[in-house]
Amino acid sequence: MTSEPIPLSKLSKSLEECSGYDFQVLLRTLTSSKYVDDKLLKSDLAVFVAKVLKLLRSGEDYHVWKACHLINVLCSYNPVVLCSQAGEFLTLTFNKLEQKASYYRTTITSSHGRTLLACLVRTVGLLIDLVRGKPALTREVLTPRLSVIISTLVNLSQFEPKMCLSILRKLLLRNTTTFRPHANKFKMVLTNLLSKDYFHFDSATRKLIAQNFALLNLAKFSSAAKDETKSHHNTYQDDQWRKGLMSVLYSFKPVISLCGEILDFSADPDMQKLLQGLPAPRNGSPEEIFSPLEIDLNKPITLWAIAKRLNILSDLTIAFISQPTHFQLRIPLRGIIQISEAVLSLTTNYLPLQRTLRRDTELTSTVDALLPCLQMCGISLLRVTSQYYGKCTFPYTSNILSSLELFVPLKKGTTSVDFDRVRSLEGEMFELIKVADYYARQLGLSLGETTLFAKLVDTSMYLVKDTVLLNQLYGEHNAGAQKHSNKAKKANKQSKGSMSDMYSHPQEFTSVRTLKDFDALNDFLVSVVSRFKLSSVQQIQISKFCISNSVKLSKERGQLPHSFVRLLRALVLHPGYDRISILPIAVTLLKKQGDDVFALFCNPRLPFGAVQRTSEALNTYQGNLSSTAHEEDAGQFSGLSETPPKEDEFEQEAVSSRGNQVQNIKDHSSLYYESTMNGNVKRLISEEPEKVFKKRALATVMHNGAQQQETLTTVEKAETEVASIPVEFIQEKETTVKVDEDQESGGESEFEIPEINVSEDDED
Amino acid sequence: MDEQLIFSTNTTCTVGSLHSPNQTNLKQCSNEFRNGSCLVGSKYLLVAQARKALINVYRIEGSGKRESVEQRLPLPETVNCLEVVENNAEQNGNSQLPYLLLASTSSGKLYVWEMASGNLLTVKAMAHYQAITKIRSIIQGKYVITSGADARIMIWQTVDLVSQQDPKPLFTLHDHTLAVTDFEVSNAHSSQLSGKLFTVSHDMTMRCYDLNMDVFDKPQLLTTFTFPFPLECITLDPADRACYVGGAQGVYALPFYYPIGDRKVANLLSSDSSNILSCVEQQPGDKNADLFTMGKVALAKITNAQTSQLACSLEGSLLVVGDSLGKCTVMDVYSKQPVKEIQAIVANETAGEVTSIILNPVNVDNSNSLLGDGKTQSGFKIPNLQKNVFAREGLHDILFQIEDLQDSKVAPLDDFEAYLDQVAAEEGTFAQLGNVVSTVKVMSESEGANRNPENPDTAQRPADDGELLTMKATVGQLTGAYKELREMYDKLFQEHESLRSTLGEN
Repeated sequence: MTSEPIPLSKLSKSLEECSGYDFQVLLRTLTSSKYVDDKLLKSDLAVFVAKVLKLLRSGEDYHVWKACHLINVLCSYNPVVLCSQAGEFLTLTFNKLEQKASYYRTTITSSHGRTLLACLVRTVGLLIDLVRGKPALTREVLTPRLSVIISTLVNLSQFEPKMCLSILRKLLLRNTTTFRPHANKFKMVLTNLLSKDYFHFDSATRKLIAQNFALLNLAKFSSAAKDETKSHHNTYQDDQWRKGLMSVLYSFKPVISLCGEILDFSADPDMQKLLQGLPAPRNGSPEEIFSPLEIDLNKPITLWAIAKRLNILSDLTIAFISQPTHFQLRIPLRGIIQISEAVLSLTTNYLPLQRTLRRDTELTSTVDALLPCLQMCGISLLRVTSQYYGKCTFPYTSNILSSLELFVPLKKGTTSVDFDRVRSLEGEMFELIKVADYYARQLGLSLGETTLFAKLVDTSMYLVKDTVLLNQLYGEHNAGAQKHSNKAKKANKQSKGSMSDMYSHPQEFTSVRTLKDFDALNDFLVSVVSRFKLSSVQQIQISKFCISNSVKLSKERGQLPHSFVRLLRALVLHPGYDRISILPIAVTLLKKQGDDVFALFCNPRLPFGAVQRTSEALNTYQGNLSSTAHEEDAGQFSGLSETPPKEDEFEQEAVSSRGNQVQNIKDHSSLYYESTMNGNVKRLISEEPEKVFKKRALATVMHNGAQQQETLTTVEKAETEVASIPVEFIQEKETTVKVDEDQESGGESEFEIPEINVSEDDED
Repeated sequence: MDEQLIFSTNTTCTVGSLHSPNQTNLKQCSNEFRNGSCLVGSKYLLVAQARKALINVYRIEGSGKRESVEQRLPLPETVNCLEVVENNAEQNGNSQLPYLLLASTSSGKLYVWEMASGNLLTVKAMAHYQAITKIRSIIQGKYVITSGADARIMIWQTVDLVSQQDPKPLFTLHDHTLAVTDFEVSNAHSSQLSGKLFTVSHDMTMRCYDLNMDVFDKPQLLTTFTFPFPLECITLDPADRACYVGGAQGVYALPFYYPIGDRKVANLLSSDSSNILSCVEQQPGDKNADLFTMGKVALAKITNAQTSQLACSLEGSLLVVGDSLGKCTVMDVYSKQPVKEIQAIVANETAGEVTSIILNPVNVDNSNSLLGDGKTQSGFKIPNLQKNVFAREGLHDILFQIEDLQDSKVAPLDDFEAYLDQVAAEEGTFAQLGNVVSTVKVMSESEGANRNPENPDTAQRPADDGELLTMKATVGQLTGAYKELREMYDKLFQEHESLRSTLGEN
């Protein structure tokens, strides 16, 4: 084995022919740092680069494509090549790109033409990225060519926004001044994309379009002649940005007011007030981005135009408030939150439909489907606001939480959740839960009177069940079974295809909850359980869901998914009002895979050296040394500090400082107990597990006969576990019981534990 | 890696270092009350000025650090204590401005400003009945704790402070009988109210509360320690293993896991020992066990200095003792020996007591010092603090800047395997053409029409040649016919033109 790399001259010979795997190997070889050598520059490297350039110049697409990738790899891994050749590479790739872009029509007729175009764009982008930040290179390579590059990319972006916009975004951000002459043209392109083709793109491209539209405001447009009379006013750097943002925000109000044609706003004075308060231009009409909407109530399908428009507007707002800038922005936080409140209020939960519309079923069902889509815009606005502005939304917390609550569909005229509609809005509910979680994370423990989280827990408990797609069908059949059985049979005969599967194998038609759904729900449940004090019913529901699914999943997969482990931890650490601990169950469930948290919880210990000694014995030189070592250890483990000391450690310390002495296990364990028995552990031990399990078992019987067997078996397992709870604790049972009776008025202590005997055995 | 030691006295403010001799003196700074300074994002230092309604902002770290005042924030009145509540947003967590600035006055008033806009969100008059002695935001800024000379401790929820007209504290603790001078909260906590709260007071006691809301409905007093002198300050070991309590008669170390002889260790903070322990100075020959049974704890004295502020270093082995003469002594906790002394450079006898100590871990990075970090930090300014309470109307503009996170790595560099994968995928589109290179031209000639399944097999080609010939012949015929037609047309057109011209002449 020599450390010499394959000589570049050998590589350059195979450049033209190689393809497929050979080409990939070639690329991989080029990443070697051995080629970063300016001695090679005059000999091998020059030849190699010349070959690459030859490929690039060739008329064959495949060669050009290869050259692009060679340049990508060569330039990003080899600074020598980058510095010496970047100019030439950039010129040539750009020329090719320009050529391909100007014959766009011809280029894209073949699939490889399109690939090549994308590859060229990417290579130009990469070269720009690599050159940026290096002063001399930038001066000599980038600056002279940048203007032409921008104009070509802007042109191309009309047809291929996906390819160009990410590069243009960077250019807007980093080379704002050079961009300025092209800003107007680019704005036209973007406005066109926004108003005509916006929904023809995937969400990533849509996001890019909106972001570019926002960032375009970094480049000031040729400003109108400055008004001398106003020159004493403060000028802000973000004037242009602000103008753009406000014109988007102003566009919300007309759209929301338009919904007044569908929903009767006059029924709710609060809504009217909210509508009044929405951001609106103070004087004159600002520049309109979009043409007016065309909506015909006789053609309900046209109503979707509202959803489209709101989606665009909220995407734009999100882009405006989440993009990096060189200066501080003034963000009208209250305005944005008010808009999302107003959008979220567009629901039939509290607002009635306009009187004249109620008869038309086509219209009402369209409206029913439409409104949640509108509300989603508000939710996504709130999500971004919370993500980026965090606690700044605090003054509006109660408004935000109550408007989020408006999204939860209610049964007509009641305050109970309409689960059928929850089912049809599944994806949206998941999103809502996520957003509510963002806000929950920021809050403290007392929440005032909001019922959002209670509703969401109910909803999520509903969502965890598998969906039976045939539910609807069964419902109909059972209801009309007697009356129309004959007709139904005939209808079935007429229908083509085999319908029998639906009746013989209904289980094949369920949409099963995937692990991903569970993960999302568990994340929410973890944060709810650990942050708020839930009602005991809900706490028990969550525990039940968690335990039964854990049993099922760990059987199926051999180990418990991580999100369930986290939920188990949360449930153990935060047992709620009833202080029902599921520690034994959780430990049993995790017996196979083990878990650090529970290990620490059941066998509390301190990290090494956590106990600081100041006694004389340790004042000696020797002790000094050892303690610093301990100290260091302790620093590493400081996270575990609150747990009381571990046996070994005491022993070790004792040995090191005082030599071997007679062990006094009794005292030691009593101390040990003393130190462990604060907080949860004490309660766990003191609380009789039987009662807890009885409760759960009862609940199971009431709810679901099918699951009963399963849960009960778990309970039994858990009970056996309880009986063998760490022996060290047991000795102090007596004291604990006393304390409990004193402190908690003995309410829950029908204590009939035989273990006390065990402890006495231990004492000998 | 070093730890910055920032301390202020009545007339000076010094930025020193625990492990290196660097030291700078901040100019025009005087700080009369304890806990009157706070760090903003480890870069800026806010110091409430003595006898002036003013907060001075200093830049103490980064490229633009300097000794002079960066910015002055005028206030409605003189304030004592300062604290900021960080924003902790999910994205852009490193935003320059924290969320709130809290300040208190001698009359017990609590001001709450939103830093991003300068809006005065709340003024809580009579938050305490006497001067507030310390403000701290805890648990990622979800809660704020204030202590007062009125012997009370209040725990506020941050949301309440900013969203309610007249916010009420979540909990009020009034076990102390004289002014509460200082308090500390465990560094280790969960995402909700948890951990322990330690308070010291002039009534010669230190009290420890459990804040864990899963166990108790309200903060639970675990243990009370009595001392033989009024207490001024406290600091915690970073891992809650011990605390250091200081007063006019020196500083004592109080280990929470207290050795009582023969392999026995008592946890002084366990709840069921809920008792009062009296602390005495350790004397040679004391038997801890005997003392403990009498409810006494023998403590080691770390220094005799008249202490006004304490702070514990990152790793818990160094204790910074700020004394009444304006001097900071760094003590080794274990050996109880002074390691170094730091004094304001312009030291004079009138410096007054140390009013606040802040320890701030910093990264010492000299690698690039000559060139600097190139990127000039845009000017960051705290908006003027308003004097009128914000009316919650209008758009509520806040200043906000999202940092431009430079993409650290670009395409092939960040994930070469994924890049190769893409290369392979792209090559697929070229390879579809059969014998790749040679047929490209054929494709582009017969463009478009040829794109669909018609995949010319090389084997079939000779057979097709005959067809090609016939087609060529047809083309030849057609061109001939076209030429004839063209000639006819030209002839007729000429005739027509000549006729028109003759008609025109006539």
